[in-house]
Amino acid sequence: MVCLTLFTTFFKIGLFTIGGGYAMIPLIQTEVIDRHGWMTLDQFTEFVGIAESTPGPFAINISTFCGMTTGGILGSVSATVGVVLPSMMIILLIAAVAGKVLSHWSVQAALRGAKPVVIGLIGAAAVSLLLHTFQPSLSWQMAGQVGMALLLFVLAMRYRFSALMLILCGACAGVFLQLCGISL
Amino acid sequence: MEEGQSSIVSCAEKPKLLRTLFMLMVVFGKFGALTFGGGYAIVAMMEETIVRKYHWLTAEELLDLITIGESTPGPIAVNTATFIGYRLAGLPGSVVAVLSLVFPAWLIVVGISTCYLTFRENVWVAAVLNGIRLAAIVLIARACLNMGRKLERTALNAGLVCIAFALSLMTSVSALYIISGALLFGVLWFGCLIKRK
Repeated sequence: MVCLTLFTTFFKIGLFTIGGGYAMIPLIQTEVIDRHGWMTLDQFTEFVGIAESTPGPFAINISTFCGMTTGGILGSVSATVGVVLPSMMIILLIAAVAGKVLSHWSVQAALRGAKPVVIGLIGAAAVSLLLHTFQPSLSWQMAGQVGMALLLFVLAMRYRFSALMLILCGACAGVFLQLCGISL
Repeated sequence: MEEGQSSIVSCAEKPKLLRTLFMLMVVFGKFGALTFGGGYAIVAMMEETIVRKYHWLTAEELLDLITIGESTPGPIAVNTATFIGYRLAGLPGSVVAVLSLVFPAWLIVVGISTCYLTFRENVWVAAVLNGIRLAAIVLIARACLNMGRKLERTALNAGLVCIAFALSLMTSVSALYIISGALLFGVLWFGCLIKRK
């Protein structure tokens, strides 16, 4: 039963993932975490990091993980098949019969509306995860977190570190703060 | 490319079809098992293998395919695998290509999440995961900023970004409905603009 719900949920998510893997993040947040409560926000954020440092498409990794934590191996299969199926069906349709459908004015117009909205949603996901991680207080813990986050942000934007490198730096930072006696 | 099209026609030749399916399995299995960092990293590797090594597609065709991938739902790697598989060996080809892409990634993640669920209570693992969480948030923010940079600078786009941002943060409306609304708005607003021209 859980498997069926996983399948339909991820089918919906796959259908609305417009503009690459990161567009899945706000969808998973509302559908998987808020609506079904299948995993905590902390677990999800951790796994976004792990999925980025694991081979394979990000979308596949994240759905496999969600399925695995919720319904074991069968759950992971249902979630992954669910997320892949809509895009496969649409591409097959385009390749086989309706090659011109993408250049139709209505499709182009709809996508022009969706693009900025998806960016806004991903931004909101980043901010809400940030607010969830930082508990505002005047403590060494807060100072450590803010310092590390700023450092990682500079490494990401100014020095263009790859995702894998950033995750490794984050992991080292976590261990370093723990050694200093500050748990994040 | 000629070779690709002729192999659809000659599906009756069993050995050739099987060889194509095997090639698809090897190539896309490699993409699934060895590429890091999602869609665009895989696209770079596809350019090298599919265009320059095997000549399954020309560079322009791959570019078209990426544009299609961007304007259809779903992970870009899956879209490209489906299309190339279909082009080379019909429906079985696309199923084989997608399965080979997904299977290694699935297997690795099943392994990792088993370890994760077992060890996350450990103090040091928890410390590592806490650090990874910060890095993940930075990555999400970077993805958002990079996508924003490519967006056309108009007041309407800025407004749409802000509305989506505010709706998502301040209300509990599902992202599914926000995106559906955006698609509908696009058809009505931009559709009228295009039609008037």
